[in-house]
Amino acid sequence: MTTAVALDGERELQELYGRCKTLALSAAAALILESGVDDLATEAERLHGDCVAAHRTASGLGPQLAACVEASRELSALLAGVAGGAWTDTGLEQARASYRRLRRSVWSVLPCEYVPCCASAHPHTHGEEC
Amino acid sequence: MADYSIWIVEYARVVEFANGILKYGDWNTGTTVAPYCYAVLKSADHLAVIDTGYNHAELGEVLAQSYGVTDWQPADVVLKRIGVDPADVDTMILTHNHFDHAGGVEFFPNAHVYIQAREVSKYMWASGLPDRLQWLTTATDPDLMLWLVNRMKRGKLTLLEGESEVLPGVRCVPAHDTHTAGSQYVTLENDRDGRWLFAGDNCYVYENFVGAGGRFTPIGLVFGSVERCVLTMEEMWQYVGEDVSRIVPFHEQKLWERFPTRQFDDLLHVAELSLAAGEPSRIETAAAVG
Repeated sequence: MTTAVALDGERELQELYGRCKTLALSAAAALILESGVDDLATEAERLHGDCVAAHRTASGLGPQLAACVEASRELSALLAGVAGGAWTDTGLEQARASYRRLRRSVWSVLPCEYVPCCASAHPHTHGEEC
Repeated sequence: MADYSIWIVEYARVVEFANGILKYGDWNTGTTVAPYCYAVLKSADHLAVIDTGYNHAELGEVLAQSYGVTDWQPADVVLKRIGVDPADVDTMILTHNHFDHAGGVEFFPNAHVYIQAREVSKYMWASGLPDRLQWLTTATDPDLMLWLVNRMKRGKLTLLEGESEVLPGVRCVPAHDTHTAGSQYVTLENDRDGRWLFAGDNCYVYENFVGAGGRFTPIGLVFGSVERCVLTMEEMWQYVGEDVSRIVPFHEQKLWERFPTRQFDDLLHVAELSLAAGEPSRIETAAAVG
């Protein structure tokens, strides 16, 4: 794999992970606030399709993209259930668990994005790019 | 009747916490030991925590490593020191939705959760913004928010709209657009000994109030507005009658000098701020469980 291809792959993973994260956040907030999720359900379906396509054509980062596929699928299933008026604890827990797996997998190859990463004067342990 | 015992339990600490985060403008002035704490309020009728710490697994572990957090202990260990079982906690107030304050919610399976609605709705708003603006959401976590959905589904989550009394004498006061969009601090009017104020991250250390020749110095990590931080500090200051000892910052190591305190073998502390009628001191008896 060339460096350019690797960078493209990382960029794509970053984008898909970012979309999974913000969608999960939006979905959770919408459920807590009891607001509509139809648009989010549509977006989740679209995201899942993009994740599947990226995973199918990827030349690297297979485990991370597979985790994107799983997390987006579970999120999509949860939101479809909510939109249809039926959702379960199991669906919620599966969405949580798949998101956690995605996060762990992504952080094995990309730096943790949380802030404030430089709150303390210490060596970083998860990457040096903060 | 509001007769509460009050303890501050330390569950982890950062040995080298950057001064510039603790106090705005203290850039390049070194580091300070900063405890990670939450508060426990106990009355005859209620057992409450103000914030929860975090779970040193998954996200918690990664962030703890990132921030240099050491000596972490779970809720059952630190609460045993004051004779409390986390399963008996009936009320959980979250000052804001950052990992070191709200990341331990699962340790308290029976607690009813109180959080400002704005702390949720603003994250929903921010997560819909373009990717280039997602710095606004990077200090919270979808997994934690999904756990709050679980609480909501069970009728154990109340979204607060502004100021509200959640237990006798205990009020949640919004501090919007300060440290976070939907932060709150907590006041207690205790029959026994008057007013207390639990700051969340609306101040980190006493010196935010009393360190600079009579002028407030706000915290150095602000997702909202520094102006709102300073004006909220003034509200807090007036509530306690300008007595800084009645403000409880959760990252202040001087807590251990100001109040009766015990340090345990794992280096963590418990401070005892007040004892309700008939409540034995846990500082004196804690050696048995330390």
